Amino acid sequence: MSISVEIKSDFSSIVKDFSKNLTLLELSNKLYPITGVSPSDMALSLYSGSELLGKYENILNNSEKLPLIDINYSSIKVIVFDLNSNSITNQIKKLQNEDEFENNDKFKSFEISEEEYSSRKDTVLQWKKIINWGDLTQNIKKNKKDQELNNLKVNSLQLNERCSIKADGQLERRGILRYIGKVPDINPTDIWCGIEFDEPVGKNNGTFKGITYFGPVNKNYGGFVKPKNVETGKQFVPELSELCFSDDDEL
Amino acid sequence: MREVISINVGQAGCQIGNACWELYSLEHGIRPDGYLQEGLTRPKGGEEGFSTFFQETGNGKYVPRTVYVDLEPNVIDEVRTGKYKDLFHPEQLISGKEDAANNYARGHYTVGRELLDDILDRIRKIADQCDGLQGFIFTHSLGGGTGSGLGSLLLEQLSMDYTKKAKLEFAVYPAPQVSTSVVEPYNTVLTTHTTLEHADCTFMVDNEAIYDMCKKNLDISRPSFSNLNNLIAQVVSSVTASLRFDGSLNVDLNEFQTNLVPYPRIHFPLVSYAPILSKNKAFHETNSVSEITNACFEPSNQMVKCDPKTGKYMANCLLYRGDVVTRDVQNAVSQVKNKKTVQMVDWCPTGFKIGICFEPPHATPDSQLAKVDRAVCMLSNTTAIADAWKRIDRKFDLMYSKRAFVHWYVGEGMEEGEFTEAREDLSNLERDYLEVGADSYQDEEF
Repeated sequence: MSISVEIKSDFSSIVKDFSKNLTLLELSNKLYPITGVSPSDMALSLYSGSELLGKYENILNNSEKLPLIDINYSSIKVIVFDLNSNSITNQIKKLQNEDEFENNDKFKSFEISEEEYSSRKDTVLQWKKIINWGDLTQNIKKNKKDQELNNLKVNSLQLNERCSIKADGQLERRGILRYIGKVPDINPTDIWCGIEFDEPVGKNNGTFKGITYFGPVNKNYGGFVKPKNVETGKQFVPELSELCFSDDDEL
Repeated sequence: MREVISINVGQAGCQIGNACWELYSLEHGIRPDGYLQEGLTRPKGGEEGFSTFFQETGNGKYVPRTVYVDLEPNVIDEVRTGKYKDLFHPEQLISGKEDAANNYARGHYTVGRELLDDILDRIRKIADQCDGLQGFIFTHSLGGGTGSGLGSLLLEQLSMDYTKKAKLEFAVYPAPQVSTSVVEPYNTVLTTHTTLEHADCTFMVDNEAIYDMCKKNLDISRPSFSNLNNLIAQVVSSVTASLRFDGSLNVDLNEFQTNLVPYPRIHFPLVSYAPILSKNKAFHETNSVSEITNACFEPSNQMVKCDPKTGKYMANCLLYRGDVVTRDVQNAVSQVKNKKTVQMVDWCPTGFKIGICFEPPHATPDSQLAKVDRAVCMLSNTTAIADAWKRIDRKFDLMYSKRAFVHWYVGEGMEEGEFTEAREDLSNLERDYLEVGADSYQDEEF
């Protein structure tokens, strides 16, 4: 004959079927891997509904049969207590409480070091390298440096002044600096320079995702670039780029 | 033919398996004894779809393509004596005598290993009866000893024996409300490490999320395992519906991976389901396509507790069932795409993959879930699911800092190094999610 037993402890809450013939010691041995409470530290309260059937302590020296065989209930509930305040379950309970209710900064979760992560083969990082994607760790470092450069640069820029834009791997472009500030739809943190280019070498007309930051200028005459790539000054007069010449050549 | 074999391991796995096969039988018109319901000449769902999950024997009886495995006899004995006892071939139900005592090491190395050859034999027999086996669907818990230990052992073995076949998992993620043991965090981390390279796609089901749904949506004041499993089965049924029913838009098992997994390790899509309604509420709801689609983006409809608003989506599949027309779906999807909270990674086309199965969902008689005309299941690969790993990793760390209960595992012959190795792998996984969600445009121009 088996009986279904609802088990409650600090770390468990389940229903298990046990034989009605179990002795108290056998039951506590079965409860050990579930609750983590060692039978030597265990105290049990047995309930049927809200009726208390019995309370048990000092289980190792108790050879009693459980009072299950004679009862007609198909299910009972057993609440498992840990009497040893320094037991491993109580230690973990304390740690978890600290974690939940206090700002537990002193306990750090395990984290893999950047070096170790980059040295592993089966990672998204390696995969991104293979398919030629930006490397996050390098990007983070580079971004910090760029951030400083950008912030320094912003102060030296003159709004509505002629300007030159030199970005890595691109030809120089010229235009007028029309906007300095955030563009939340690109990202919420960075400062961007809105440029009205002399030629259609931009990506928009001064409007990004429905918000107009300057202009509107003609299509593709506007764009947003990083401040570190921008210089302002009267010397940056309009010049015809090779792009225009080559167009003419082909005609 | 493109058969799928379902493998249910451990208490949770077997109980969810039961709930699933009960639903599948109802949906395809099969009686609990394996014969067709009266008035039917063929099972519902079309030959191709139906035969992926059921096998027809000579005399008009249908048998599920499945095995049940548990190290202790109780749960499987219930199948052997229960309402559906005649549905299964006795050889499909495999149970041992000695349980795993909530210990991964017992499920994986000692007690579980003794049963391994037997289980692989039975699976081989079922596989031999398939013309074009597509793959396997595993159902198991991450926290239990059998589910985690034996579950991962089987997955490892099948990954060697059936290299090319797809392997999907439904994995129950542990929750304090219904915790089977104090060492669930250990088992979860250990089994995830072992299966990470063998499973193609893993759908996690967080018992805490399911528990809350049962309480809030289904008005069950103290949800039992059977309440939880009925709800989980409904979700599993939605995911597999497109495999089981012939329809205009059919998905096969490999397609889950193709559509959802950009990199093999990032294979844990978030599952959402709507509507989740109790029988007495269902009358008062319209459940239009756009309502249920929107509901999928509500955290209360997610199977794992996490906040997709803080993460980015890499892929999205919407699987509709029942009375659904394509135009309504298109409208609903374009509404969703305009939501500010739905952020896709910048390297991914903002596509939504749509599947429609015209067979509406069923509800089992003892389920609290109302029968509705239409439902939707969303599978989305979002970086937000890394929250689930963070939570369990933290619990693991708190326990492992005291080396609590590690001797239970070492006592079964497991090396302590496996703990650190597994934990490092999970830490890598968390890091992988950061990496995959990182913007690739850092320095571009707009």
